[in-house]
Order: sequence, then structure tokens, then C-alpha cells
Amino acid sequence: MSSPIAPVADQAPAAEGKPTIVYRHAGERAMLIEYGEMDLDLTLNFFVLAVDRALGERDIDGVIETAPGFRSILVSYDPAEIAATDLLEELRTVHRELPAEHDIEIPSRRIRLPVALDESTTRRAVKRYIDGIRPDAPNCEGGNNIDYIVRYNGLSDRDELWASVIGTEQWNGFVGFFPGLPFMFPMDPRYIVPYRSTTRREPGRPRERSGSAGPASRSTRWSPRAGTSSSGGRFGSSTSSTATRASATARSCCAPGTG
Amino acid sequence: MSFYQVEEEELLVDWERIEAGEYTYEIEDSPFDVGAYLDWLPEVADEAAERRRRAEQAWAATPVP
Repeated sequence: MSSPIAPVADQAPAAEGKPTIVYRHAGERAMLIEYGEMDLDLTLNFFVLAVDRALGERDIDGVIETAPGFRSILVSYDPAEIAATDLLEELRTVHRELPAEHDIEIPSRRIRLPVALDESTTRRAVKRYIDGIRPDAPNCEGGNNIDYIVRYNGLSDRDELWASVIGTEQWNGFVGFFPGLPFMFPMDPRYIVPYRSTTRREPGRPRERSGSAGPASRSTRWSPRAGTSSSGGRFGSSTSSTATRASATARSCCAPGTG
Repeated sequence: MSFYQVEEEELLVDWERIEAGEYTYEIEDSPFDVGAYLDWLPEVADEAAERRRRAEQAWAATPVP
């Protein structure tokens, strides 16, 4: 019979320009490291990506893989090769050796992609939803949910929404839910278009085309392949794809840290 | 990542080029300087706060479906 262990292996306050840190056991084969408070602070994501890179360079025996999220990173390990206590010490060393957030430089790439806004395939997807699932959906008035997004963001018109989508670079904070699905965060805080859960078309998940883009929390997410939507909010846009295909066929194209 | 707006017809042409393996993505290496970014944020903080205030007011006034 195994003895119980505390789920929190260690923690430390913010210091030397680095965020607070909590090391959590995530079962017997992984450790979850969390940084900062539960907040969509891009600085935390920059730090996570720096940690991920440092772990890769350190090449710790027994570490199987790392999975960076927005403000946390999951480190999977083989307990037959490295004990949790030894891994924890390695992780502390990585944290100690990292520079302050302000001094971090992240290898990154800029990707520029075409986007068609309010295009026909997305309009058809909305129409299918209205016709087949919810004819009275108020967030799909006029056969789209673009105007609803404009309204709840207090924007003057669609042009201001499009200016927000195009006016800022987007930081790919993490790739999740399924391979090739990037979550991109506006780097210019003046252009944040928050997601409202009521933007989504409920019930049911509308089918969408590969390359569709829409709001998700404070991020923009893309669907790298056609299928049912994980969230029904849409800019009525299609990055065609390019984007999408980039993430589907060349994963590195959309690796976290892509700005 | 950044977007530039095109007409749907142009996008469909791009799709065909992707399918044919003829599309060239615009990608450039660009190391990201976190410090420079953090130093820039205060310059737009007031505008961002005003935008957020406007959005919060609109949010409260928009009926939930």
C-alpha cells in the first residue's frame, strides 16, 4: 500500500522578476508547474515558453515530454528513471537559472496570413444552424453572429471589429485540445475582442470549414480542419486556410511562441 | 501571427495553391524581446482601459440569448 503524498510538491513566491510558482504532482508520472495567478497575463506565457525551452536544452534523463499551456507546463516523466524528488530539484534549478521575465528573449517567428471576413462558407454554417437547430437564436440575427459580437463589445460597426482582428499581431500562446489548434492572443491590448459564452450557437455544435477563426475567451482560435466547432463563436471569417493548413500540415508553423 | 484582409475569391485561389503544394507562407524568424514588449504596454494602457470600459458597458447592456 502506497503512502499518501501532498499534491503540492513545492511552491515559492514571486522573486527576482519571476512569478510565483507551484509544483503539483499530477499522478505518478507527471508534474504540473503553475506560474503566477489565474489570469490571462501574457507575461506568464512568455515565462512558460522560456521554461519549456530550458527544459529541452537541459535534456533531463527520465523526462518524457513537456506540454506547455498558457501559464503552466506539464512535465511527464518515467518514475523508473527519475524520482519525483530528483525531478523537482531539476525543475527548481531550471527556475533558478532562468532570467527575470523582463530579460527573456524567445525564439519566435512571424507568420502573415490572409483572412476573408464574413465569407460565404461561414455564413452557410450559421444558416444551417438557424435552419436546423435554433431558428430563434438572437445571437444569429440576420444570419450571422458578427453583429452580436460587435454589439456586446461596444464597437461602432463591423469595420471596427475587423480593424481589431487585423490591427494587432497575435501571439500563439499554446496549441491545444487537438493537434494543430493554436490559441492566439492579441498582443495589443487595445484590440482584445473578448469571447462571450452566449456568442456560441447552442445547443449543438455547428459544422464549420477548415480555417475558420473565432473568438475564444480573450484569444482567437482557428479550426485547423473541418468538423464540428468546439465553440460556436465566429468572426464569420476564414483564414483560409492558409493558416489552417499551416497548422494542419506543418505543425511547427503554429508552435507556441509564434508571434 | 498577423492577418491581412483579402476577398473570398482570393482566398479560394490560395486554397487551391495550398492543395497543389504551390503556396508559399509568409514566415520570418523574429526573436521576441519580452522586455521591449513590456516596456511598450504602458504607452497604450489608457486606450486599452477605455476600450475595456466601453466593452464592459456594452456587455452589461446586451441581452443574453
